[in-house]
Amino acid sequence: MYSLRSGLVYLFFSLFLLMSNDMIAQDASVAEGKTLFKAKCAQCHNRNMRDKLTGPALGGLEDRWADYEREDLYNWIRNSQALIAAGHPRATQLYAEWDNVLMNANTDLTDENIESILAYVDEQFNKVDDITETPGPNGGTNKAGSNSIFWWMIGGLALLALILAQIMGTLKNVVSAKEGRQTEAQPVGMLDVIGSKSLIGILLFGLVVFLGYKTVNSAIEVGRQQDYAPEQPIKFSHKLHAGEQQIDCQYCHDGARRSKHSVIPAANTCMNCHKAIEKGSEYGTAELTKIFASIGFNPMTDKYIEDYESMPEDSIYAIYSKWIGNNYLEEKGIEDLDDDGEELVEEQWNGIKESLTTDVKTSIQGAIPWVRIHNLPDHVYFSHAQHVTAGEIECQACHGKVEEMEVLAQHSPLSMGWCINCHRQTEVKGFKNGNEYYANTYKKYHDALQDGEMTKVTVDQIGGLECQKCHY
Amino acid sequence: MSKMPLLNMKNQHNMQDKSKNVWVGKADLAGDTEFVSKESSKFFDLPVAQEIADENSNLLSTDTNRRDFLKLMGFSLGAATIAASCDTPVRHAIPYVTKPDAIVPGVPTYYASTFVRGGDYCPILVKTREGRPIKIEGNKLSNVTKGGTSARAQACVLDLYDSTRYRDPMKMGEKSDWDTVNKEIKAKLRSARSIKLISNTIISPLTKSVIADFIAANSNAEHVMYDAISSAAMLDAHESAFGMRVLPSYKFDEADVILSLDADFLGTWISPVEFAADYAKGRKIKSKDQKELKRLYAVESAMSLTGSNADHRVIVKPSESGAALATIYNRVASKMGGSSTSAGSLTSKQTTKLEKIADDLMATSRGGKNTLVVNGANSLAEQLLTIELNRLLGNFGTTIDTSRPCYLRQGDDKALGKAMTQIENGGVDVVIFMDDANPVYDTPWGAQVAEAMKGDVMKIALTNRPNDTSTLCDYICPIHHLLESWGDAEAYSGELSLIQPVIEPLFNTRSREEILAGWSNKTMADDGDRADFVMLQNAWSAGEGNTRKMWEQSLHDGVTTKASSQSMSMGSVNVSSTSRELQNRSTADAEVKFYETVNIGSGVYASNPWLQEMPDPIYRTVWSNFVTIPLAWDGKRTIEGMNGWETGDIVNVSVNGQTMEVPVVDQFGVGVGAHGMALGYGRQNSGPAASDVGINAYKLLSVSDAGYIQYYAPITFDGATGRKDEEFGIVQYHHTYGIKGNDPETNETINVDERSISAIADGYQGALTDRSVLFYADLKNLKEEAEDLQHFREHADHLNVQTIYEGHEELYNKGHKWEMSVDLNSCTGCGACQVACVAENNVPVVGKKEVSRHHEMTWLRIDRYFFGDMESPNTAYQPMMCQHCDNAPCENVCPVGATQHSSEGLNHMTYNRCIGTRYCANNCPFKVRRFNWLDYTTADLFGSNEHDPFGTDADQPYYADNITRMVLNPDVTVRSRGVIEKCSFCIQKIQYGKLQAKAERRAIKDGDITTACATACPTGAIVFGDINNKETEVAKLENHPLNYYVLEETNVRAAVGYLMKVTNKNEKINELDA
Repeated sequence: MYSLRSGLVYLFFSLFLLMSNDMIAQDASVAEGKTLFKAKCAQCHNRNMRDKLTGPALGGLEDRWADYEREDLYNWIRNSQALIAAGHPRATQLYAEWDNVLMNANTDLTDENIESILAYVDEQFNKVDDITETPGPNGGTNKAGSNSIFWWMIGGLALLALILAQIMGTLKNVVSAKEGRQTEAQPVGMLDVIGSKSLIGILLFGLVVFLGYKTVNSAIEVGRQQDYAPEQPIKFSHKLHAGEQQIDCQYCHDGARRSKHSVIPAANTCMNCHKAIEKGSEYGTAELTKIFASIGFNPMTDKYIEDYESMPEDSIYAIYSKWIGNNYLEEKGIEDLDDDGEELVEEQWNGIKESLTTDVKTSIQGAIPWVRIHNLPDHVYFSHAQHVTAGEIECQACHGKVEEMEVLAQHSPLSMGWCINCHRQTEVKGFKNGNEYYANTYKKYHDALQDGEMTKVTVDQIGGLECQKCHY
Repeated sequence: MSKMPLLNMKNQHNMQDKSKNVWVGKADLAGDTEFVSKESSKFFDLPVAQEIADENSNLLSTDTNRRDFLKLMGFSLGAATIAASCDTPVRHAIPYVTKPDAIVPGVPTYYASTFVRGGDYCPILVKTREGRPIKIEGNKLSNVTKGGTSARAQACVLDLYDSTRYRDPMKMGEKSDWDTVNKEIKAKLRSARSIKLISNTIISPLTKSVIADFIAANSNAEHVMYDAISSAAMLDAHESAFGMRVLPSYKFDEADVILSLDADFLGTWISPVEFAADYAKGRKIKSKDQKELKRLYAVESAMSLTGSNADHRVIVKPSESGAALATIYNRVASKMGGSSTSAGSLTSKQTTKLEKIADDLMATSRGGKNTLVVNGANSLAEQLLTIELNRLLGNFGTTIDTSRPCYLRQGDDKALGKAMTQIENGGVDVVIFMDDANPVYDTPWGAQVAEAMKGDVMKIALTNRPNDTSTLCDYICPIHHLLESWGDAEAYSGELSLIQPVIEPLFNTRSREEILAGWSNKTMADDGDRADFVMLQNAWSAGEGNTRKMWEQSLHDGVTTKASSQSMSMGSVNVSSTSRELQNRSTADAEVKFYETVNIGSGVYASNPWLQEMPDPIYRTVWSNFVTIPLAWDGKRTIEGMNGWETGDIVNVSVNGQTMEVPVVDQFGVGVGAHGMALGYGRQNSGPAASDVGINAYKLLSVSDAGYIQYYAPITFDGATGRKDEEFGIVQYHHTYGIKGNDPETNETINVDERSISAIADGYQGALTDRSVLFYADLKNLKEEAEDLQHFREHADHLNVQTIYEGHEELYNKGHKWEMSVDLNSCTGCGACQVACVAENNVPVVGKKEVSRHHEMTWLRIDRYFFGDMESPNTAYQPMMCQHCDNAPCENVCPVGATQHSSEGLNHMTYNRCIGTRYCANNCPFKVRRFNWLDYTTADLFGSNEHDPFGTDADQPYYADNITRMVLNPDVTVRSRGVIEKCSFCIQKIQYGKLQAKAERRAIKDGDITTACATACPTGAIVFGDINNKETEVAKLENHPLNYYVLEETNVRAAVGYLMKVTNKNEKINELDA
């Protein structure tokens, strides 16, 4: 009882939290600020407002600018270069502090815009740690439901058969009795029943059917990899990046909106942020150094290494072992590397080597050999752009709650049945959100929707189930 | 009251008359009874049955029995079980390290460049995917080609991935390095007494300036340009008349009557892509009341693409071409005030015809309209006379533009002859062969030069793939392929095009400019840029008024136009001087004309399998050359090849004192004594696609007293060998449909469509006659014929509305409905569409043997039909691809539903569902479905199914090579063995175009989505689009009065409309033929 009660309390508490979150989110200016921040600032400024990224952490910036006119802060955000040129003390100081890296100009922002961004920054900065859940449609089907119906039906039929057999037997006996024949009234023993040909026959038949069913099903499953979650060369956490840091999926997978491939980000995309964040929160130098070793970035000098492609392995080792070692020393606060430290360096170096090389790629330099998770057969043509840009489908619809996955797993079966099912159910959004293509091409549907004759157009109605939409 | 209005008898009669006059080969024309009996009695001559019966084949001789079968079956089942229980292999996804801005994986990028090879020129756009070029398209910004392409330009992307290319510099046949090779060559150049640099025509200003520098640095050097198919006499004639050794521009669009004397301007002559587009402009029919149409006369010996497209074609022996020209000229001169010349005589029929042509030219010219005479003969006298004839007809300034000279032909036979003799006599120390210059093969001096090259001379080849000459060279300096190069081209004075690399060099190659500049001791600033880029930029900035901005714009556009820097001004022509050469007539009974084919060209394209397997448009042959022989007709029934020979028979011939065995092709339109044989075949040491394919006809060429190469020779036939080329590839009689013949028993006309296919293996000809496949008319009765066509269509439609399936129209009116229209008047048969289709859709090359077994895989074929005069018939080319029938007969016979119809009117083919019953192919009325008999693209697990198209025992079949495979279009599935494939209307392009529109949230514009064939077509004959959008061109063409659908009466409801073929006959010549 106690546990139930505490569970209920917890449930109510979470509900309350959820509602309060909603109430905060309803604040228009913060919401606007969030959108603007994502569009304009998130590339360089950390969303938690506490850690620096390519640009400084924005948390508490109003305090830092408190000594100056509010107008100066606006100008700084709108066009920092002009302010630096004008010799504003805070501006010049910041500029020098950040190695003379310029901030993008945002001349289109109004004062109100900036205020809402500041409000959002403030809100984020003061927020208690919690991970906002991104709602995504649940792609799963109710397997248990359909299976149980199946078993109920078999049971029902078996019962029916039994009853019928019983009735038949009785009737036979009645008929025989009426005709005056002697009824075979010997009692039937259990052993006779078990050993009888018909029962063995029935059982064999059942076995064949069952095995056949199993075989066909496993044959269908061949090559399918639902829940496939292989170990990746780098322990990249989608939970951290997409969940906690709320980096937009398409910031890294930038092909999704314009290409058939969503594109595994190039190492230089990682470097957009990790030039500034050189140590990971979870693994320290162990994982991030792999990216540096792939692209040839020296985190000690904050510079890319020249002629990295032709660098011998010894020299690469020298750079990164030193970097790993230095960090260890810094962490421990000691001067010389102890045995643990040396072991750590070796371990991490071996990790780098193992992760960045394969049977066919023997050098550390070059691309990171990520393990491919979603393997569609070659005869399937799938376009991300079609679904993301034209169809306006959330990534999570197929990939599941990636933002909660520490290790990425294949969420959907990626079977043809699954595709087809979705095409049957999914509404074509373009008809309602003013995409000229749909209105112009499918005039009949468009008119029917306008007149209220139809409520929605699904993908299959515009040919989404036809063979060569996916196979050519 | 009858529901079905019967056609009136007149119309029906007309229709039958017409179709009787269309034929593809001799059997259907003769209504041969044997035709039917042979096909039914020889059922087992099926190609496969033949193969099985073949003694060499081990298909039936294996010891396989039931036990072995069961063992194998058990093994495979076990293997499959184990395979299924194994873990799925780990696959990697390799991203870029630093992603280039211009590349988004999965999205194509287009770069403007220029296709240049010798005198072939075509501004192009190169489609690249993930940094590798996969497809060529025309550049619409070009003033010259206006977006058209040729089969050769389309195929050049495959040359890039030719795995036989030279990969490193070579010295004496051994791999070497650039430093060694350059050092040794430079040392020799310094001490050489005489250096010859031999190349084909060069139209690049940059290359020319580099060669000029080279000659300045090596004072003993001489540059000799030659064209394997020479225009030297034409250039010399223009030099004598204009004082400049250049050609003028020809404007075929301005001409109302064109006379071509052996100038195949639609296929091979000078600038065919440009000329075909210009020509087709005046051949389009706008309405059935049209009264005017461009007229084309051809006077020639071997049938060329131009000759086959001509309204009237006069056949003369090759040596009589001068006499024919003189006949026309004298007629014109006598009426229009020129001095006459004298020439040999022709038959009275020929003379009368030629005079009628002359009369028409004069009448046109006097009537204020334009004429144009072009001549392909390599004879100074004939070319001078042609200039004078054009002058008399007032063509300079109207159809011939002298203010914008053309640089596409610059070869000099005399200079070549001189250089060759010098090499032969040992007077040359160093000889450099550049690009495709291959004089050992493609000049009359080949054998002697090959012998002389064994001597003391240093031989250097600057080329990118092995050829007959380079394999005899001491040093090989491999150069970049076109698609890896920086460069420029100036086809016409002021018309500049840029060439830019679209891929990093695949091998250890360099640009020819860089190599030559190095040998000229030019030092280049090394600032990290490629040498050829720096040179091109320097040359550009040195040009007058060129700015950085213009450079960028030109590079983006690929082309830029400046004022012409040269202009020709007319001098005079001494007509009487021509008569000596014109009278010099051969007395041989039979002559053979050596011609250039549309696909292989002079032979430089022979190493390209796509072009080898593209059927010759006229003879429909692949992978071989042959001697053409005429057909004799007894006027009633029998049509027979000369001496009773049939296509594929090997006969003995002697030409210019050389004897050899050649296959023959019997063909309509071959004059008695006027045979033809293609150049460009029979190369040696040039990779598997070119080597030993066909016979080298260059060996048979001679040189005239004046020093010009003669492209004809007397020929004598020394009887048949009694053998046949069993693998002779002629696709004319493959996949025929609509065949009818006479049943020998009942003497009734029957359809023999399917059964006749079995007869074809026997060398017999299937044929089309009696059904609504090809409609044609002449301009003078166009209106009547168009109305007949409408009557026929109404009748067909009336049959078709009697349906038990209601509501058919509702199916395709909701979204798109894709249809195509093909204008048979604009189609010249050039084959660019066919190669474009192969490139776009990963259609495999199958090789000669497989083609001879009817296994060619092309999704688009160009059917050739003859009609009209029996001796010199008119020709219609009909591109035939999947017709995407709305009532598709293939769909309802598929037992597994692998081919189905889409709501957009497309006939979908799903390879991974297909189990290979081939019911669909059998049921296809148009015979456009292709079956993968073997694993052509090596997608199979089992090596024994893999197939090498060249029949070599190479370790790796052709397509298994990773370099070759780079040409594959990643958006199109590579089909495995055992499945059917066919034209998809380029579904990948449709889907891509739709997605673009959706992403940009806009409607699709006409022209956004086209097929590969429509894009490639130089004349705009193929139009593709959405017929549900009434604004599109294809929707308008649907209502064109000449539009019809093939086999419309069968109610298959094809989606490809054809516009009736219309000729523009000269009545006065028609009377002569009658």
